[in-house]
Amino acid sequence: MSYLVFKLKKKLEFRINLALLIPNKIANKKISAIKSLGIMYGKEKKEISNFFSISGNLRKGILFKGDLTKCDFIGNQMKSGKIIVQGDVGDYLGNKMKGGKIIVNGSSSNYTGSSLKNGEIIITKNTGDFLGSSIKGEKLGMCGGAIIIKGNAGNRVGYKMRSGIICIKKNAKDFVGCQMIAGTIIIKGKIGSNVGLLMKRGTIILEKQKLSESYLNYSGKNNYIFLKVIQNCLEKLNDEFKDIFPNTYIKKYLGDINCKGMGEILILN
Amino acid sequence: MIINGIKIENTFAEAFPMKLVRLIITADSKYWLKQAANNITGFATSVIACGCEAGIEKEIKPSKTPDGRPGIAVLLFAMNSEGLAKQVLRRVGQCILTSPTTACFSGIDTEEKINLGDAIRYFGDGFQISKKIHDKKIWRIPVMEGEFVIEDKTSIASGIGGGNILIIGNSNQQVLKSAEAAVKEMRKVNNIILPFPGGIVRSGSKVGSKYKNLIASTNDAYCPTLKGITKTKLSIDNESVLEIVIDGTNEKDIEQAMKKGINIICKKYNKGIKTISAGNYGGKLGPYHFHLREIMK
Repeated sequence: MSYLVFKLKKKLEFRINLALLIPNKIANKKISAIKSLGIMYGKEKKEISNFFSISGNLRKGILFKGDLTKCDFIGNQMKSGKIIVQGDVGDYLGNKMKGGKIIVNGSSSNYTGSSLKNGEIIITKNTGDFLGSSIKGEKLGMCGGAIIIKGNAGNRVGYKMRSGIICIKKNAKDFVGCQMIAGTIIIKGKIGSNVGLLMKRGTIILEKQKLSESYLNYSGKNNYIFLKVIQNCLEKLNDEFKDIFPNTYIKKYLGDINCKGMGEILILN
Repeated sequence: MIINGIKIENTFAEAFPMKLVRLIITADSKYWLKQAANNITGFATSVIACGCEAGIEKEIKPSKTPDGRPGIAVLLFAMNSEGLAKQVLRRVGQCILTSPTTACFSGIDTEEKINLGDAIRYFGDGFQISKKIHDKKIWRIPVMEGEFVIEDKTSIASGIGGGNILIIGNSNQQVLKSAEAAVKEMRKVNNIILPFPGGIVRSGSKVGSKYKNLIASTNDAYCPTLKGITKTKLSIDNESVLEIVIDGTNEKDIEQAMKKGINIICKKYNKGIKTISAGNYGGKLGPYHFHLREIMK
């Protein structure tokens, strides 16, 4: 076995913070030392071994198993390596992550990839609100890296996003790219209302949408070759992006016109 | 050494270390691709007066270019990084930015970087947009046609300039025909360019001049019309000499190109050709010596 496997022993009553369990922090620790790492559970300090059975080694990365919907900050500030989760996860997955890869074979809750700096996060099902956004006290949301959601996303995708790329294969709710500063959001399904509200710069790429927001100006159709460059880069990153932009002659809206109107919303045919 | 009646002189081509940049230019059509590539590599035959030496290296299939369109790789050489950075900026700004449908990307990756789009972007007057996808950063500069896409930085690598062969023969037409055939063959080698018009130079130069302001002047030892009055290197019946200059990213490919060129002359275009020689400065100026007889062994 080449993954360090953390298997949840029982269903959690309170939320726990798993920020300690990232490959670069536990790389040189023995299993016994990892088992005795302390985390808060409600008002009590407990050891990791109270919640997880641990086996294997870290050669390929960390593997979490079980219902981790009450486990927050998985992959927090991770610099390298790989984390795989078999099941759903809680809030702040990959918060301030600087490198490496997280794959969740399930859904994630709110604030996934918050203030992400680099690296890659893949969620095979759905995610909650504030994907790739900033958290309380932070001025900037995601500043680099890539997040791929194979299912749906909640409200405020890319809130205060600064750089990097978010790709959602299905639908997203309201306020996509709200207060976005820069970066790229691709949504292959439908979206809710108020897309790009108060966005300063950045690119939101949508599929077959009619936009009627008053703060967006229609800019006509043109050929956007940069989409092919992005597609080429993304294809090398992940097969999910293969031929993601079949056509580069597309419609463009500029907005939010109340914030200089330098953001762009591109509508694929 | 004599191959098919042609004497391969016991001499060597003397070459110099240079700095190089490889750019990949793409466009909607091959026509506009050629226009852009010919322009950026235009007036770039010799560092003596052009600031850089440049040429088309190869065509690139759409599946191998960053934007999936037909591409051409060009190489630009200069004596130092600063000079090269200036030339790249000027040439991309005036020749690629201006050509319809084109885009421009870095075609080489080393530690030493210079600005490409990061300098050209100011043309966008604040309307330019950057996009960073993992390690690749591009600029989208709004132009009257739509958008010009250009990579943020390009790398500088070390290269070699000044590999050469001299084709000496008894007939102007035969020497030119042989040189053309050699150029065609040599251009099949990757990582090299032949910077002169059609790959051929008729006015090979020596260092210095009787005029103090000139750093180079005609190579009188190889001028057939001066055989009576200079210390000539030609025999009485030699009527023409043409030179092919080769710049490359490495010694091996320059050698390969020289070998291919000499081979095709000796095997198929030997009529009227008497000698293959090479230009050097006694071996004191350039550290790279391409010995003809060793190459043709």
